[in-house]
Amino acid sequence: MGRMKMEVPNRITVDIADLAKLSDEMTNDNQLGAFIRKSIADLKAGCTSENVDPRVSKVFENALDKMKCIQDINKRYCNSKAIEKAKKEKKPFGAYGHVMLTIDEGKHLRQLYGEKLEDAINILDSYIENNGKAAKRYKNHASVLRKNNWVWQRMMENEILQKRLDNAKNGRKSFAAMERERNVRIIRGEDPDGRTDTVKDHELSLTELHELYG
Amino acid sequence: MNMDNIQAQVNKLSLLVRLETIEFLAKEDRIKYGAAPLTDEEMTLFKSMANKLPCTTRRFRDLFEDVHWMQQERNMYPHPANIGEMEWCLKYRHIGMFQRCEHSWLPYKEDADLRRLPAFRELSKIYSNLLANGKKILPPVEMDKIENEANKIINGLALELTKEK
Repeated sequence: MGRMKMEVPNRITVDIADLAKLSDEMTNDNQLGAFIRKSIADLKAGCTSENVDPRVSKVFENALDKMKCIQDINKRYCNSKAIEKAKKEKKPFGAYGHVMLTIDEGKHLRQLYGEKLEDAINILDSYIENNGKAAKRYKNHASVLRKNNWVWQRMMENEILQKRLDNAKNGRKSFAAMERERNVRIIRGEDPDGRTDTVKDHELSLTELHELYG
Repeated sequence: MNMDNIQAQVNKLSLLVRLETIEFLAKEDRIKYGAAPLTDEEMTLFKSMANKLPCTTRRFRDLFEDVHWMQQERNMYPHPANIGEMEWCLKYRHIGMFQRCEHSWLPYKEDADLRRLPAFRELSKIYSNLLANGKKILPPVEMDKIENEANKIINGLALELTKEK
């Protein structure tokens, strides 16, 4: 969809791709196509044409209505002041609604935290809820949620804690812990791998030894 | 003195001496050449494969040395001996031809490390009792092979007798 700037007093941008499509479809009848192309040229110049051919009056009216609707939409979203205002507008986030962030700040934080952005926001939100002075102290909540600040570090600690809890639940240990336990077993003279059900060679009979070792 | 019982003990202990010798030499080799120690499963596999090699217990230490000589001659980076290299050396080098020796199921007298193995200590007690009673030390005997050979001979004789009739 192409956008064309039209020179009108309030500098509104208009999308007239629909009219361009109509002109392409009506190339069979050269007069109609030429008429619509002339209308497009007049619109570009900033004026509407009153020479309406009855054969294409309905089509042109619909296209004009559509164009007017597009003009209204563009008035709201393409006005530079309105855009800047919307960008600077801060919205409340979090369970208690204390964390105020703009759209761009939210996008940046989403890239930083990923799926855990809601948890980070809730940390700050609950802190502001419990500390009345924090609301005045923290003017820019996005800077509090930035990387390597206390919220970020709390999130990293929670991640490590969760991993440790999962490991303890599943019975997994770190390599250093496993090595330490192994050395303790060697010092005690037990089996280094912690096996208690191993059978030594001298406990087996001759036939069993032949079966095992050939 | 029940000689059958003693023979059975000697058979088992000589096999244990062989297996413990292999295990000791493999561990020593890996420590010398800075490799990671073998796990239980790997050690069991190594012992079973080394036990099947045509090498006597007495010459196992020489075999390991020969493997490292071979690596040096081939300008290979020194590494612990593996079964493939041991097999190759037994097949194509002198170590494979000089297996016939006295008391081949026992380690050398000078080899104090292998003579300290628990299976050898048990075996030496049995041999010391035999020697004290004026008898000679018994070598290990594979009873299965002897029985199979005896059965073959008996079956062959029986066939010939039936044919003649």
